[in-house]
Amino acid sequence: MLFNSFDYLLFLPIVFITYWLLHKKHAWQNILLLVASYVFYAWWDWRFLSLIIYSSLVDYLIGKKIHKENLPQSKKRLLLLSLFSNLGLLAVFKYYNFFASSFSQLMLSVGWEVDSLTLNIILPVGISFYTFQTLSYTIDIYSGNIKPTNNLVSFFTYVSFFPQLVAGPIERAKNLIPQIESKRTFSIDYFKEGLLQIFIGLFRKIVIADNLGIYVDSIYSDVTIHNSTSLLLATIFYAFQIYFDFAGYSDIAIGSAKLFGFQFGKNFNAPYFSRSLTEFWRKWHISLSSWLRDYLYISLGGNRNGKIKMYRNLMITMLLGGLWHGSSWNFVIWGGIHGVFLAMEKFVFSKLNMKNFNFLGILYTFVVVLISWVFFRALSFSDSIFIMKKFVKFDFMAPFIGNINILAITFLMLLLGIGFDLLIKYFNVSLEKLGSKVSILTLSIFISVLILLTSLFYSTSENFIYFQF
Amino acid sequence: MHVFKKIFMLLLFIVIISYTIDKIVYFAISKMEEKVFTGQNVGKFNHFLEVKDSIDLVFIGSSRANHHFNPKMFSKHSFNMGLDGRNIAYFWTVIKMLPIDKKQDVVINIDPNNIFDSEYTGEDITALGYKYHKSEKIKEELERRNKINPLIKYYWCIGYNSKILGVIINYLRPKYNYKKYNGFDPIIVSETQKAIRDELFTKNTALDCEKEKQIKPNEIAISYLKLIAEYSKLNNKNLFVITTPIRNDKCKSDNKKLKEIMNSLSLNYYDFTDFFNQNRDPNLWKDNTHLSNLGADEFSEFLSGEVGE
Repeated sequence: MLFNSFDYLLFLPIVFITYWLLHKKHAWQNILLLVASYVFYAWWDWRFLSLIIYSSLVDYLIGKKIHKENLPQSKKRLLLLSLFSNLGLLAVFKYYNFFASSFSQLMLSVGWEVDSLTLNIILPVGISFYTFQTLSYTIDIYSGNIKPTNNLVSFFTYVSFFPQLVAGPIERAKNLIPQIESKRTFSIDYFKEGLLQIFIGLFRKIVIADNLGIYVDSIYSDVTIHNSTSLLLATIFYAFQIYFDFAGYSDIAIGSAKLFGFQFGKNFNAPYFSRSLTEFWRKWHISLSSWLRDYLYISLGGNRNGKIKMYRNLMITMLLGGLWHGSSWNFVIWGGIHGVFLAMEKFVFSKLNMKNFNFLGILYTFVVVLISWVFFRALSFSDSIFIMKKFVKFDFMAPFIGNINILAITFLMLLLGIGFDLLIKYFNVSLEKLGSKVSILTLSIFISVLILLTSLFYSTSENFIYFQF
Repeated sequence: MHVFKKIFMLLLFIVIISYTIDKIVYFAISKMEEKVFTGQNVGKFNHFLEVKDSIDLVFIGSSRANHHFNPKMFSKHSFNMGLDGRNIAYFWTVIKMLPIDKKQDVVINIDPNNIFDSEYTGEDITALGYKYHKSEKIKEELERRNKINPLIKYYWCIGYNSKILGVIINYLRPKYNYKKYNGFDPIIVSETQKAIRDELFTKNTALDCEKEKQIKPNEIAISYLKLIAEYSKLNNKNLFVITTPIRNDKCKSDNKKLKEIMNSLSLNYYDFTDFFNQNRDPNLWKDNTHLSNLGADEFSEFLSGEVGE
């Protein structure tokens, strides 16, 4: 089920009302959330529910076993079993075809033609997200950070809770399971905050991101016929499209969870105002970047074993982070670019004893991120190279306009979106808390204006970009 | 205040305020829109509504109709209602807006891809969403295939989605004197367009005609075609269905099948796909599917004789 669909518009109030009618029966509330979450997922394809159930069951059992086990060797074996089981699912459903075709191409390049090894595999929506979520649970138990839950429903709800099931935020067991297991009381502040964030998220997605997407798609579908200006404009638009798309998704997820009394962590914090790439990664897709830091970078040794190994660990983390986004070498390159610049920043900051660049750092960060988005968005490696050559060639002429009305609306809405982010940043207001800071009347007016703007400027709904990951 | 009372108040305020703001903005835009007669998005249809009772000939279709039929060569009282991106659901709605008791000639440009596109669902009709609360006939068509956002019943502004800038700009500064405009937009091919066209023509564009043999008529398109045929018969409309010239069209089975469909519906169908086959002058074209102003004039001159007969 998509957040920006009529189905969700009906689904959410039904679950919300039923949920709070059961406010005296906490266990039933959790069962309702679990059933609702499975319905939410099955709306896309019920067959793949089996993967979620399998993944949940395996980690529920392994988590308990790890905790009971006293021998470090046995604990390690169990953790490896969890890793193998979860990453095995990812390997089959997400990466098999990628590695099979890469292998065929490699063989072909040395003159040995092999038959096509690829299979017709559907990528289950959200697999990368719930796999990371269940993995973190067993790793945390192994590290002694949390104790396993004895409640099967709680754990299954943790893995499949519908606001974050298909595209995050990736919630840690430490944060979410205690909330699931404790009694929730209805809070008007949470309700106001959640409602406002849902409407802001919808606006960011279907008004800003989807309008930007029209121009981006028209240019990136055939980059060879466009000039440098159009390609640059489309890439800048894409930078904002992916931001408003995913930040919008996160807003709806965080807002929806709040309606049920749950608090998720912040997932975006005005990342394009970062003064270094290091800062950017503290503000972009925070739940993923902190996951990669805690479970990959630090597990590899982090910065504990000398500088060379620190750079190596950083590169491995970013390359795998890139690959996590999709089974294509372009995503690996995207991660590689970030890895190289993060390593360079670490080197420069340590030499000059500084923590960040000055305000020019915002421009530097945006340029680096922009270049990396070319690889992220382009349909192929050759397209990416073509675009990069065009940027360097600098043959800037009048850009492709397309539909002038849509382009004008796109600019207008983008300015509105950036302006709103600037205001939030300037007044140091938390978007997550905004709804409770204003009166009921002010909130109603604000939401009404959002509804009006959405009615007038929404674009045809598309899937959220992060669904494909 | 009790918590549920607060929720109720919040939701009630949102419903009332959003409804009120929506109506204020809707009526403001609507007032402007009614005075807009320029621009392709809104103005051209308003212009058509203004002249529909006085014309004796109307051309309907997509951009190919818009750029190929020069009404001046047919009649002083004619109008070209061709619009970019429009398809058969829109054509039907335009015909439905014509007066029922006046004898009029209607020329529609229909190409094989209007009938054989398996993915067509009638979505082009949503371009008239802004008339949902103003015309019962259009409302009926928008609801025929559930092509309208259901929230439009409450939030009327949805009808003006993505049109508002065009309305304001054309209201404040009309692009042309619409009284002198007959709906025809000839393409005067620029030097850049010529270069692109010539490169396109030198490429050997091989069409997959094998695929074409398995073509199936789209049921939705056929249902609209039937509505057009029936309505024209009953309401004094002399209907001509025409496929205007296409350059270098090698696949013929779709044309043949289209002709069979037209015959089965007893429609006057003329296939001019290969009209310029003997004349290889590239200046007649803007690209493979659109004639230049020169091509359009030559084709219109010929056709005016045919329709006249």
